[in-house]
Amino acid sequence: MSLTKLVLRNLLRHPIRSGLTALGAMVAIFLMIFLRSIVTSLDDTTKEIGSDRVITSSAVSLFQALPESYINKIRNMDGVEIVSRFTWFGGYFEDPSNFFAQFAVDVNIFKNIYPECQLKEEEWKTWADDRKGCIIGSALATKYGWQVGDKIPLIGRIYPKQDGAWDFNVCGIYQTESSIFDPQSLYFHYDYLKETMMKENNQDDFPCGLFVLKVDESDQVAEVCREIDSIYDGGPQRTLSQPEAAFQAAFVSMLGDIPTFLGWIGAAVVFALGLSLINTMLIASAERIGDMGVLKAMGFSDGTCGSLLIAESLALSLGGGLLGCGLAWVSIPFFRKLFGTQIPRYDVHETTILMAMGVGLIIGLISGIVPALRARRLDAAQALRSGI
Amino acid sequence: MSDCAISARGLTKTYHRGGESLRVLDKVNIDIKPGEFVALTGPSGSGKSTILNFIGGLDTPDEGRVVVGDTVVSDLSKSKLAAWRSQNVGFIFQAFNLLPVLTALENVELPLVLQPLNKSQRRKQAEFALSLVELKDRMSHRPQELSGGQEQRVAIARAIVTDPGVILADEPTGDLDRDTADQVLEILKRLSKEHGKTIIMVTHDLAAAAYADRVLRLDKGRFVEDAKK
Repeated sequence: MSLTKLVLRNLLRHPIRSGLTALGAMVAIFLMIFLRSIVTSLDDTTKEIGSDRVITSSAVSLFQALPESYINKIRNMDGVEIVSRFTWFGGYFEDPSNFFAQFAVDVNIFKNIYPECQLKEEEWKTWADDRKGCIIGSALATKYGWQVGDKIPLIGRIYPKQDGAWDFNVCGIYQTESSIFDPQSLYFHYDYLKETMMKENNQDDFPCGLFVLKVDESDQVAEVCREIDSIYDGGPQRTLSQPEAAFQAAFVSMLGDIPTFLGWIGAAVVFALGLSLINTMLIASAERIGDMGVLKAMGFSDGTCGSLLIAESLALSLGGGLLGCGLAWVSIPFFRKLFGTQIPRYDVHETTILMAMGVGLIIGLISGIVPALRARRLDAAQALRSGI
Repeated sequence: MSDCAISARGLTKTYHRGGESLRVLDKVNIDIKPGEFVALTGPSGSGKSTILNFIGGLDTPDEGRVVVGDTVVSDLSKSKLAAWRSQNVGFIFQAFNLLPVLTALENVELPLVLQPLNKSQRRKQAEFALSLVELKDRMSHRPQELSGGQEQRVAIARAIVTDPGVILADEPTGDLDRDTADQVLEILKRLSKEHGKTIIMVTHDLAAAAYADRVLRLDKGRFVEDAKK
């Protein structure tokens, strides 16, 4: 017999109540970790992005295209190694719910800008030679069962085609070991998009969504950005050039102040857990008045009697918290798959786990304090007379 | 050192409820010898349990002094009282008050958690206490799996497991039938006679009081009779 055993046995006095409270703690701690991990993972994503890449987009809006002719000046600037045109296609396969990222790119340049995209040499060549060719990520291929040689018909929403779907021939399935390079995307020839749209709409030119540059040296990024933007400061369209990491961070911030928003949700969840645990512990202590009287009669000090209730509260809070941490840990692969391109770097940091357990500890202590103080103050003779 | 196990002088207690004062004990004196088995009887509200609580250090008198052995219990601080109780007093209650989440053995072992003993010593001592009340074969049972008489015997084992000099029993047979009550009272008598425990038992039951060496009758906060066998 030990005090630890007594605490555990008391927890099992009402197993359903204790179980549900611990379950509540598990869900709350899991949610807290999950929400915090979204924030840290978005942060990680921007940190891991290649430091030698620059994105030049319209200074007005991300949805405003730039004159294609800009590429000629940018290409010839000091410090710029290569430039690819890059346009978001925004189509879907058969049904609008079958949505995934599609980009029109300069194939040969794209290969050198994104070494994360791993493709067999013959597949690069096949793709380069096939005007309607495309490459797809391994996860996308698995999802739809597509193989090299298949035709993928996509309906264009931004770039609709008069005769219906755009047909793309799968020339290769790329692999990637990088967590920031989406394995669920499709890349195709920029010129296929440009020429088709110019023909369909009788246009003389075709604006480009944005330009992706690779600079000679990482330390030239800031200077190159400044120089590009200064060239087009007077128009016809102003540009905004920024390191790829900053571009991604700005993209994320378009969704609002996510960290603050998620932080408030997390705080609300933790507050609810605290109230639930306090309620459980108050009920437990009210039921335990007679027991406390007996313990005090035996010689247990007021402090020990109070500590028993704090220990119970901590056991529920930390026990549930540990389960929540475990759940957060084992669900990483699930959420990586679920978030896909939105949060490709989804992970749970050790610091997040420690923070969550710290919160569990504090909630356990706070929830146990009021019942513990009641137990401390309890008069043994009165408690024994209470008959509870 | 006094030749009394328990000596109390001028015990006075007044309860205040709803603006009214009720004096439950009025300058009561009591002397009990070591190994004596004393029954406290009297009508409800006569102050029997209050005296028991004073002797056990669960309550303090408004006036007066309680000495148990060499210790002036009424002068001890709350924390010192708790430590003193763990060594010197065992309590037995009418409703047994066993912890339902613990087995009989664990209930008996519980007071030993406060003693400087290791796990095996605690277990050995608890088993010995259970053997004294002839319940060693029920030690793994929970209270709800025991009869009322068995529960009270476990409670007696719990009260004696730390080998205290004084046992305070508040209506120990109040919830038991006659035969079972007699078994419990026999055990208490044996503890007094064979093991030298000083026992004070509060009871309404004259048949129970007959087991004691001495019967003290209280009425309106004063002793009105002191009958020795």
